[in-house]
Amino acid sequence: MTLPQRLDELNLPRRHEDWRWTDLSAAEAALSASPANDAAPDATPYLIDGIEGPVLLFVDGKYVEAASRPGPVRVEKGVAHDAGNGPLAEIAAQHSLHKISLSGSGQRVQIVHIATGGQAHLDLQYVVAAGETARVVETYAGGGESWVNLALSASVAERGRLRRAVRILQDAGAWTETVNGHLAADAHYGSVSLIGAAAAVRSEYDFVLGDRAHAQVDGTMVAGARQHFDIVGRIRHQGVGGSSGQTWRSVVAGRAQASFAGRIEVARGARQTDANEDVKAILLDRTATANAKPELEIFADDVKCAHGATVGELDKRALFYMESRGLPPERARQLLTEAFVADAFEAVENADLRAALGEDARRLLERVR
Amino acid sequence: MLKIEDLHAGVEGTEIIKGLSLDLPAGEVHAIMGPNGSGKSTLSYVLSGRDGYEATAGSVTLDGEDLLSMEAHERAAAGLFLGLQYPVEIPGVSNVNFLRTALNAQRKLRGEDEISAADFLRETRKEAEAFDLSMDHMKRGVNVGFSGGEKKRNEMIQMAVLKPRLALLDETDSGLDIDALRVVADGINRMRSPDRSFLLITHYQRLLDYVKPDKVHVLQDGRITRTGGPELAAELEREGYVGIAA
Ligand SMILES: Nc1ncnc2c1ncn2[C@@H]1O[C@H](COP(=O)(O)OP(=O)(O)O)[C@@H](O)[C@H]1O
Ligand SMILES: [Mg+2]
Repeated sequence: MTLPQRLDELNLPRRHEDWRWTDLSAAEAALSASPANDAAPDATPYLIDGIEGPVLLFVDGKYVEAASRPGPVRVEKGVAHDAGNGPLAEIAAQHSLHKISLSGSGQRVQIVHIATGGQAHLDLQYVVAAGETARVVETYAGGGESWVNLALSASVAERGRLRRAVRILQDAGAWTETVNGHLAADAHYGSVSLIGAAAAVRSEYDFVLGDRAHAQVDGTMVAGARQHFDIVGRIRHQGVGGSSGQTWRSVVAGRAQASFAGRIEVARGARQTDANEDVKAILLDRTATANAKPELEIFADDVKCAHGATVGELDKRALFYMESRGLPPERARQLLTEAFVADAFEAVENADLRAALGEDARRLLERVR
Repeated sequence: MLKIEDLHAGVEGTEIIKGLSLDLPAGEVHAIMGPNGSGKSTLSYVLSGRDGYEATAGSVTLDGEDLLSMEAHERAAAGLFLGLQYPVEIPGVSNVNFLRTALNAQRKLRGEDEISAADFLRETRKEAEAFDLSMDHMKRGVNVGFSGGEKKRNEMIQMAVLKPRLALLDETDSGLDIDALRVVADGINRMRSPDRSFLLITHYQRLLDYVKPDKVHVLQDGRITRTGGPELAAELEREGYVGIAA
């Protein structure tokens, strides 16, 4: 049975429109593969220099306490919670449940997931208490014939802040996530994702925002060969004076495809909502594809919603200008593409993290040029 | 230094340069003057190797080396500099980073060592000051948010730091007010030396009042129609291009 058939059989609600750009074949291939059972897993190679703080290691969806340094972070296994919408999230919830209480963690928490093969489901719940700030860096490493399926429910209480950086660096396989976020009044959520490795990635997010809450969901996709990435976003403004931003930058080469579908919903009464979607893609080859589909559903007055989507090539005038100054064509393309994707990291305040993301992006861009 | 012989060149199959010859010896400053659309910018692009600008006949050598067979960045490393009529904005790439990367790429191709960060910064500061651009401008994205005059002065800073053997300056004087024109002219005069040559491409005599050319060539419809001394520029100003046609 194919994975889409299985999803249908489980009778999970699926808006097919949201799946039209998704490629589940790599996930499917992993169903018949098995983990390599690495004897001594180690998070160290995937940690970001200069960032101190708790480290949580997961291997193939399982928390490896012995190789973790949780500090004040509490990891509880088997705590059932509302995994939220989405068929992939429901599958994840059947496998593993981890409630991670980030409140009081103070420093940035690094979560490393290593895939060694087969399917790895990870159901995480982040909880941030009122007025608290939590910061997480998730790094997905490993590879092989694996399917990493993350279901994340993030709830940020009033005036709380959650910052999330996601680095998808696993060198093969499929990676999917379903994020359900609940932002209470005056809560802030900000994430930046770097999507460049793995054969197929699907990131689906759905945020519900209360009064004056802010969600900023940014990221970059670097796709080459036959890589297939898609983002399916949904931001639901339900309170007064909420705001949201989505900034996505993609560089697509070869026969790869990068897609973005972002839906903004402004409920009745959600006055003074300010929502922005800014999506740009650069195609390095004629065979590459980028899709962008903004969708607005506005039921309130006095609302600002802006969206812009462009698909283009590298600026030929800029390339010539750089070459005329002595930069070889590859170097000129490198500088231009790096500058282009860096737009998506602009909101990252921590210099070490921003540098690490820049370095990751540089490596990923090197592979597709 | 630069020798152009019977050059025919164009864009997308349209011939724009129609048999142009020019000899620019080391240490000299020549001006090419011509009406709009006569092919001045096209010539600068053909010489600097822009994609799509193809030479169909003739030859161009720089110090005896065949320029036309080199790629654009190799021409830069060989000592050619093109000051663009319309400098390009490059958001996200800082001016200093761009310039250092360019300088080191040229040095690498010439088999030289990279410049030290300290030397580079000292040099860049000095030239930014000479051409009246703040270090804040130098740290911004290349030409992003610069006025027309600031862009042209930025071209001059790049030239001064890269120290080319041959500088082609395409209408560097346009868009400059009188003070900026003086700053630019002073910079060019300061860089004149027995082993560096300049080809000043311009529409007006203005710049030539401050930078005395050794020769003035008139470009009309893709060909040099007259060559003379500095007095030719004044004659052009008086009589216009139509009056001067041979
Ligand atoms: N990319 C192009 N494609 C077609 N024609 C061009 C292109 N660039 C310039 N031309 C034509 O070539 C001629 C010379 O242009 P240009 O070199 O810009 O002149 P100038 O710099 O002397 O004003 C003009 O007739 C112009 O229309
Ligand atoms: Mg011109």
